[in-house]
Amino acid sequence: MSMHSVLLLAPITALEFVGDYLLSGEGPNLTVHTLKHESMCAVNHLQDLLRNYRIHGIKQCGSPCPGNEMTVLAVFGGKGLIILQFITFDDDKVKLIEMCQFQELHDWIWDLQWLKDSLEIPSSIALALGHNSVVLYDFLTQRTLKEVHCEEKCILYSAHFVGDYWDELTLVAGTVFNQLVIWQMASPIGDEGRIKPRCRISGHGGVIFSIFYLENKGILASASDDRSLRLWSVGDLKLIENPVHCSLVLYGHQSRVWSVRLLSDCIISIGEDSACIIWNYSGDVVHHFRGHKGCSIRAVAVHETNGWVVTGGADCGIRLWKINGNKSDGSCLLQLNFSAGSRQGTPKAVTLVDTSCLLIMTDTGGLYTYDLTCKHWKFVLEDPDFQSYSLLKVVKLANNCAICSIGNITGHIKLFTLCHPEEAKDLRLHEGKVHNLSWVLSDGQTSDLCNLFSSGPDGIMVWLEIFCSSGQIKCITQKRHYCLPLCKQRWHTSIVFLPKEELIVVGDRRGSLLLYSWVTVQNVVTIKAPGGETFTENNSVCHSLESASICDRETSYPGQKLHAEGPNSILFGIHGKLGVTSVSHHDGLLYSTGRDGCYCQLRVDSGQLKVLRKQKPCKGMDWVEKLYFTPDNDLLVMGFHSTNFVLWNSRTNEKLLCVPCGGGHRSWSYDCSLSTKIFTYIKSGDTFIYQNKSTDKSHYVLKDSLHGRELTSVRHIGKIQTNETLNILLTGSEDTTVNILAFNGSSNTVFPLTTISGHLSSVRALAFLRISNKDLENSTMSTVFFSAGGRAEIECYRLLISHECNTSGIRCQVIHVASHRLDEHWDHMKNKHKIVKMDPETRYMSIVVVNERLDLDSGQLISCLFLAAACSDGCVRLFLMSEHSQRLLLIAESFHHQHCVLKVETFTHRFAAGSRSVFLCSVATDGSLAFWDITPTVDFAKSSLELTDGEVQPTNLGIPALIVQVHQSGINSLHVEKNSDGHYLVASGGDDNSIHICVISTEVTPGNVASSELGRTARYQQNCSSCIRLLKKFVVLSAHSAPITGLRILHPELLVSVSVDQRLTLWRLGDNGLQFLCSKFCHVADVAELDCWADSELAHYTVLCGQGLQIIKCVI
Amino acid sequence: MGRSSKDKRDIYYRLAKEEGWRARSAFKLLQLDEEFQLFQDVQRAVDLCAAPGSWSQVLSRKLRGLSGKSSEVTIVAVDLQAMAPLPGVIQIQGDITKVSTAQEIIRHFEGQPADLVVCDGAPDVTGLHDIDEYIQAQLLLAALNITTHVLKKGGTFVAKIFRGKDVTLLYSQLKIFFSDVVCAKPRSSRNSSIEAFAVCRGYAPPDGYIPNMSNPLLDHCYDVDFNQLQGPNRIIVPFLACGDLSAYDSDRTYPLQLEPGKEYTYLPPTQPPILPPYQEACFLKRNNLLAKERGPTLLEESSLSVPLPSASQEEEKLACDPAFHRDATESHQVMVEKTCLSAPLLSTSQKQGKVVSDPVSDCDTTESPPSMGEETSNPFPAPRQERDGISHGAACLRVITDLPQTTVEEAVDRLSISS
Repeated sequence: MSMHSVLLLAPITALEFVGDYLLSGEGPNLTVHTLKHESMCAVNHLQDLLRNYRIHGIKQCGSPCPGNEMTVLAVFGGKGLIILQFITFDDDKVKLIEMCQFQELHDWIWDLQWLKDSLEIPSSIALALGHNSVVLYDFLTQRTLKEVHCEEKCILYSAHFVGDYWDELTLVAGTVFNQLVIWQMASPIGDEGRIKPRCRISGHGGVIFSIFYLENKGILASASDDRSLRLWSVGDLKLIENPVHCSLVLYGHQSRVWSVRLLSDCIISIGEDSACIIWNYSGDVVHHFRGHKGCSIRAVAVHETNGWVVTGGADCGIRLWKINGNKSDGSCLLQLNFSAGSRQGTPKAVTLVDTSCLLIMTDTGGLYTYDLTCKHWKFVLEDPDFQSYSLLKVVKLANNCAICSIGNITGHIKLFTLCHPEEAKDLRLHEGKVHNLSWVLSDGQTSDLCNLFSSGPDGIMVWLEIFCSSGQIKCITQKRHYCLPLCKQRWHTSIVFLPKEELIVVGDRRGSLLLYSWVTVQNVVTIKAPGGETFTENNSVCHSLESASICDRETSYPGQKLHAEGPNSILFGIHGKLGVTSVSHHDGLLYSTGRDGCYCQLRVDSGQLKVLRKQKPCKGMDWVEKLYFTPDNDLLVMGFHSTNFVLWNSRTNEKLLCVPCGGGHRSWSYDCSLSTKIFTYIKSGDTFIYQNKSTDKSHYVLKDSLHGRELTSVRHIGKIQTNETLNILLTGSEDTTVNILAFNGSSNTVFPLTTISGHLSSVRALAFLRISNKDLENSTMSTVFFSAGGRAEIECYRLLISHECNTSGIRCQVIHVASHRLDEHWDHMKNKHKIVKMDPETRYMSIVVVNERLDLDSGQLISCLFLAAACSDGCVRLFLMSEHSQRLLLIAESFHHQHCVLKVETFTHRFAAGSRSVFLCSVATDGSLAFWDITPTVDFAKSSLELTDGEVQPTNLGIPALIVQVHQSGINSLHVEKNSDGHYLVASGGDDNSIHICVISTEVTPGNVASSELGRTARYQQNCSSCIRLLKKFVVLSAHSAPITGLRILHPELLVSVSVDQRLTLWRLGDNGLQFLCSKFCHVADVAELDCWADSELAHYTVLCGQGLQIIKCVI
Repeated sequence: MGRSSKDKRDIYYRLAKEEGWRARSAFKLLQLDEEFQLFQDVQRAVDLCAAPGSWSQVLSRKLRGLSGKSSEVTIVAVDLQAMAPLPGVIQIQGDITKVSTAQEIIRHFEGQPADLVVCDGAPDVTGLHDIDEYIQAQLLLAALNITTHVLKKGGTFVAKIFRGKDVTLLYSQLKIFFSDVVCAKPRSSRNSSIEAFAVCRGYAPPDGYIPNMSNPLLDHCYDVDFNQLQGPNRIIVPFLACGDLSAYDSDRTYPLQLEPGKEYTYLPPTQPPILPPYQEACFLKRNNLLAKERGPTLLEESSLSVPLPSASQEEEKLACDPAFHRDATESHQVMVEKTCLSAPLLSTSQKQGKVVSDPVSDCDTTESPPSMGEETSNPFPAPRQERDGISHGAACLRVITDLPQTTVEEAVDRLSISS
């Protein structure tokens, strides 16, 4: 029998460079990453190096010399220490050899220093321990040579050694009393056998978390709980005397500062606000790196020659940032001073033709181009008709022809190419103001064709097709007229072609998405023509276009009356009242963005637009303008974050660009090429250009983030067959997101598939519809899952995962099905800020899908699925989800527990007679188990669902069928499994360290069986009378030394439990109760949940989550 | 999130305010007493790491109130820092690792040893469980060490314990000194918290044990026989949940109206915080004085004159921006909420119920500094901080003493008085 860890994702607590290799400590595991080539990858991995301790420090012996292929490393953390040889060979291969075995000291190790003897040979190490003592340790013989104590014997929070020889060794200790205590090991020992400190430095308002000394500058730095960094001019630390001058106090972190490093020209600090700040010595912030999810950055390492800073987070991710290049090389802001030349007017509109040319329209109706490379202005044309109001839009065709369109308040449009502005075509498309103009290119068209859409009064949108070659507009065709839905601001904002379907998708100012056809007129809409008359022809209403005059001879104008067609499909106001900002398509799906701060993923389903998922990509970005997909499929989001223009990478969680332009309500334009990003805008009557020319990336993700806060729930959804078997895992976290991960059991690696961020508050529980066996081991997977948590919120999604044979990757699609919030009515209340909300702030503690039918095909749309929820307000609630109507309804509830309900489980019993009973088991903080027969509720809900489609008044679940008092206090884990006798084993693990097993039997009450031949109501009766009995109970009182938060019955004779005491234990379940089999220390602190899956008859995988994620394989 | 939101999320927080306790942890000691009759025949009691003083309050109300002969009962509260005075409680501002503190306690007891020693101290948690549990263990051992100097044979010691990965090492240590060690969890302590209380009765140090404070007590190590790291043999003391099951449930979320007819009124915290470490940083954050990155440098094409965006104009724009309003009010509320009931955060005296940080359910009356609430974990700094735009440099404040004293005082006032 064995248990071994196959995967651990934990906070990165140590980082260190050894030459061009990066070493990271994650729990007790050490990983070596090579950074020699552009590809950065892990090359070596040592597991459980420090046994039950986390690695907190890695120190190499001496400075690395390029010729030497062998370095000695000390790795330490907690009370553990190990010395390794680090050997490089064959260019980039690495071997790590244990030089002397794992050693445990009597106290916590805060710092370690390699010491030289008189012959300059590293001979021993010094260790700074938890109660301000220093141990001189001979690592070869593994002996403590001596231990010296400081007079100040309090608990330390940090310590930092200075000096290479014992005789000069100095320790700077950060005490629990907010002081820095400096003492020397070789000082004379005082009366109490302790050494008097040389100096004490006070000033911080909180405990000291990190200390660093830079010898050549004589500066000591400290980072503290008070959120500040302090720099102290100490000179030579060995000669330090009181008083010490504080030269700099730096406040820049939003939260506590965990660590500080000093370099020759900058200061690096990391903190609880997940920021890494680079300061200069005058106290200015040079860089402010953000990218780690959620909470803290825990570790930092610096490669000074390459200018690399590497940070490791509590999110389990590792990032690399470059600091050597001054960032002003890469980006600059340029003010064009338009009026400085003898140019007339002030710029009103600006647009980029490409990354080297921009176009400006002035308030005098003048048009100018500006060449960014030769910094040269050029006059294009001037038309006083366009001076009071004008729209300016430009497009550059693949044949390098740039066409410009301007529209004015009287409905006139001027079209011209930039190379021949003198040949401008003037059209009058509308009776009144041109509300918007859009150039749209289509994949289906040749490179000399482009489309212009113009919105005029009364929601009429005209589509023109323009043929352009050798820099001249050859032909303009009016293709079609469309009609936008009735609303106050009735014009389009964005358009995309779907050439395959012959459809166009339009976003409008009202926030609606509309689908129009190219070809056939399907919908009939009444349009009021400009003249006031309407024409009806063949059941359709058409709009007289006689007023739209096209003046040029060369323009071909069909002359026929065009129908103003209505949309085939409308998603009204989906992006809120401020409007849709863009529509695009990528990889077979449609995307829209809006000024509600969201983007939607959509698809056209039998001629109708259907929203798959709506996401808020970036917190605080209330105006999302556009999406970009990079070649490696990162999603970039462009938008405005308050008054800044921001380009955001949603995968790496970082700002690629941030321009303080003043907000989106101005004329602005953005374009990018491979090497350049250009943003131009008008502010205070002048044009500004922001240019970013960073050719190489300034930061890299060395290891992906997991979650920004603790994980609360994990579920193994199933397996999918690609070249290898991938296990799909679902994780929920307090960071309000749900991650979908794929775990490869043969390489023991995990990679993220997607992140869902739909919750307002923390996600506490996950549940899914278990896929029946026949669907397992397939190359596609389709199921429904739920996430629930704070603010009494439940979300339901359909998950589709498929492996495409021609590509190596797998495709993961998430479709939002339904949402539910108990206090939704509160959000719609007026003046809610004036009223005190009296309702409890309920959160869901646990949810479970009632899987009553085995034959449910998970791939099909589900008409009716039940979900049970444990609620913090003391209620057990039952919901019904219908995928057809996309609704989640509360159907029943009970406040029986009167205590916070912690877990729910369900099971369905099938009687020999063919009927079934559905049971719900709920547990609360009072330690009792309650069993409910929910069969009548479920049946009643199903029947009433068929009758009414309206709101359902929740019924009372009534009283439980059976109550068993088992634990003293809260029950934190629960699992129900059928045994071979047809009875049910109910395993529960509590806050009281104990595991209870209840054996439950379900029976039909005799006498009612005969009625099963009767109709529906009779069967109903029979189900009601099924009874549930407790047969026997087993208990292990001190199964763990802390609350048991995870429990699974692997098979009727085997149980696995996990506790906050960080032990995973296997138990044999026999007739006489539970028997301890074996136990394994796990490295996930604060374990919240456990899930298991079988790999074979004898091998089980268990996955634990909490402060990280660990997968342990148990072989029996 | 209004100011009543914490009242709703935490029933004992609300009850503590209604009943005039300085922290909700008062209920924990009351419930421990219900189970163990800790206060029976106690005439001399010591409260270690006492600030803000809720356990001293309980000792005072229960011991002096019960006996009716207040002169016979002596209660000594020890903390590194001063706390607001309490009737019938003698305060010692001292370090529990110093033998002089032990001597002073005995002096107050007129040479007699104590009947009961309690300690509800918890460290300044870092969020890394191994460090937090280690430091909490050292705090408990320091409390145990001074207890060996002042407790009478057969006396009782109650201390906060984190039930983490190495708690069995602490149990084995406590069992050396006490004949009866129980791990107790009052119902007012959250199910989701790793906090529990070691109730150690029948003080019986090993024969020949001489109390010694010149060296700290170090924690035990795992052994191969009786207290194994991964094996079946571990020293686990009995668990006892205490407090009436019909009492309020600390994990349950209650409506504001607890009983029909009883109107809800918001009450301010009993004891405002005294100088928390984050005070200055919060002041700077609120006043947009934290150092920040400069915007891109402005280059001009031909002329040198840069039109500065007029301040009022920018202000107006911000005022119109709904995002700005929301962020500002939210962050304000967070500050108020998080600072209003905090205890002095001197490390040995901080009361931290829970290492587990939970955005919805906070642990104790006193709580972690306002760091990473949902509202504050914003990928970008608040808009207010970026309004300087292109033309102003970044405001970098180096030495806080430059601030006018009145401003600082005002801010401190606002920190402590919840609006």
